[in-house]
Amino acid sequence: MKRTLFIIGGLVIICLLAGVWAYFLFFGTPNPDGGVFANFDFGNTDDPTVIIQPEPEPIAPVVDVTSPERLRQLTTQPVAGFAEVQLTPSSTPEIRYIEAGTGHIYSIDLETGEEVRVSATTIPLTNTGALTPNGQFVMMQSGSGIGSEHVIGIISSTSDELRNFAIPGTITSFAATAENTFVYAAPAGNSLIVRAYNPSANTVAELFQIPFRDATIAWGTTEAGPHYVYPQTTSRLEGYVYSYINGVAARESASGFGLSVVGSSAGYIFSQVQNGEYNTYATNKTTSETNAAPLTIIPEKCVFLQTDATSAICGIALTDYPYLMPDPWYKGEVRMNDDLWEYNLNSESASLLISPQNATGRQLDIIRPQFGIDDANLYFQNKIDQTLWIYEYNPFANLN
Amino acid sequence: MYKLWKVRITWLFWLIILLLYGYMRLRVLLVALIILFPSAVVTAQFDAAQFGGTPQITITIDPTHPSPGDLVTASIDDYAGGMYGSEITWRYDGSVVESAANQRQIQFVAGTAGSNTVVEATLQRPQGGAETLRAAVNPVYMDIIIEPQTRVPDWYIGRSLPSLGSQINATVLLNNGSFIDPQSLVYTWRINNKVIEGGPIRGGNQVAFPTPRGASVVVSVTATTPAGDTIARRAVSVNIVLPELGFYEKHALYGMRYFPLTASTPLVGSILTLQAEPFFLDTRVYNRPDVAEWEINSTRTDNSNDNPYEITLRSSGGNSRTDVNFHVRSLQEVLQGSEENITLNF
Repeated sequence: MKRTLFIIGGLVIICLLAGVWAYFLFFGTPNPDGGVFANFDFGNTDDPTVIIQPEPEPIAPVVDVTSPERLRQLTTQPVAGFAEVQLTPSSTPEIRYIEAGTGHIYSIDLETGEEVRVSATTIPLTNTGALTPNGQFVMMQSGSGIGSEHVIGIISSTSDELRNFAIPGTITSFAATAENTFVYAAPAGNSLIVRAYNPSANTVAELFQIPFRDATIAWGTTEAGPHYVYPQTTSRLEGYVYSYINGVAARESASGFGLSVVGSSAGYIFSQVQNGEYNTYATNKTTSETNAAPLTIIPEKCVFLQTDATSAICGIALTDYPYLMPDPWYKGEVRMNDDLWEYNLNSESASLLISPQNATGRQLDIIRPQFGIDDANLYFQNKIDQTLWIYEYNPFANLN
Repeated sequence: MYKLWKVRITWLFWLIILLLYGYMRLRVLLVALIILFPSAVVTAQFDAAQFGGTPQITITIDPTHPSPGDLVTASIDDYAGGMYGSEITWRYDGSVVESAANQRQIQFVAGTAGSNTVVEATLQRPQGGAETLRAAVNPVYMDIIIEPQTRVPDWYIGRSLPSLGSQINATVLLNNGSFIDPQSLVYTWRINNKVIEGGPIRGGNQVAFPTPRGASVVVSVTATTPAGDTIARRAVSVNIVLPELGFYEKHALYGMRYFPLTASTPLVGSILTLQAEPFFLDTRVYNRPDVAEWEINSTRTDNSNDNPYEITLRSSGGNSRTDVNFHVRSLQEVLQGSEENITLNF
């Protein structure tokens, strides 16, 4: 009995399925705007405002360089070195930077904002670097301490491979010059020898000798200088300033505890601890006068203009400076919240250019300020995250 | 006339002694002669003052060896009162200083390095006659550069400081418009007023010495010509510090972060490479420490890292508080060391 019922039920199901199939076969042609089974009559779901874009072609990342803001962040990753370069006299200036850690070199077109990687050759543990103004050569420090290595790289215009070789020996400080060469200091006994390396001609020239080893060199923009040299700074030991022009040393009048200096051919700005206070002074070489600056400045945060040797742009924090400065700032125990100021040696006055905190909401501890071509743009790094920033100092300079 | 005879007698006395000594080689006789005639020696020394000779009036310069730009005081040194009632006219580089008329001293700013400034004082005596005193000022920069041989991190751009027992290198540079060749001078170095290097050294403008005990050390140096004329003299006080320790995060790709970690520093991720950075530790101790120990939550940890100053920490999950301690020390010089503790919140 049960078996009979099962057979009848099965036949009924088969007939129903056959009927449904026959119905769709003759009457159920699906609408072109949607299948019957997909159309649950929920109303019109076609939203004309949603446009599905075609899959984008892989393109180079673009940095916003056309924003009306004069102060902008150029990178999000730490940077080891940078320079505004001009590959040919007629080409558009571009900013090239060395990525910290990898040594990869990137270029940002200052007109389009297009960023391209010009060197994919990895130089591990890169922490410091310099690029020549023609953008063809780079010098990088890889690692630190005894294991550090200094590498010269030749940037190819046709591939992203960097031809490179190491400079033998220890190098304590280096910089690129306007002559597209590198100047560097190497220890020799109890002194330092400063040499210039020309990567185009592969020649080395000895420039001058510094008669002590623990020296900080505030490099000039050319091989001839002036380069300002002083014993490494500490608030607890005395320092003295020497300027080197065309290899000839001159003792400058500044001396004191916690002394550090930045200068040009027109004069120099220095800070020192005096009577328990960290103060800043400026010496005008034309008038041979030294006067107190209106604001306290850490000279390492300053750079003189190339077009006006009497003016410097400085990152200045309007705060009380500890009497042991600048040691706590060197150690990272103190973070600055800098504004950009312009200081003039002749007028002995300072004027505020911009407050990054107000303009961007970010705290900037400015280090390694450096001007681009014709002083149009000022570049610097934020010590807090080592990122690269740009400030359009004179946007019309390139139009002249 | 009496003075002249006195000098002649004294010289004759000493000549006889030398002849006797040379011929007879009898030291006893020499001593006996000195005992018998002591008054001759003493008289020779105080001859002028005792017999009414005119005491010499001079100009003294303070500081004796000024640097360029120093405030200098020139004073008439007249301890015997020989210029009483004189009219004084001061000249600075030949020009009369009107404001200093009849003053016993004047002040002026030393000139540039290598310059030669002549200060003159003309004394017009009340009883008639005039005397002109002269002094020359040759300012020279004398820079003493202290280079302690203690360790600071490679990224630290400041100078190291001396700690007890560590080596200090000192260099003196003289500049009179250009650097003076060190080989042309004789240098006498003193540490806490004790001459080092056995005495004056020709060309010895660089020395090395161990940091003595105390809160500070006074380093002084005198530079003289080979003939013995002093060119410059200077002393500096150098503070002695204790080694310090800071904890810094080391990123695998970007290297060291330049800000020390504190208990409030937010840590991202579950792995942290921590670098203990000693400041001002003797470089010899830093390179070969007798003690270099890490403790995690008060438990000594065997650090598998090749670098004893570096440790990699891995969070066990969730929010965890970890006490990290590092201790570095020399067992020979126990003050050469430091120990610090930090609490990390993963």
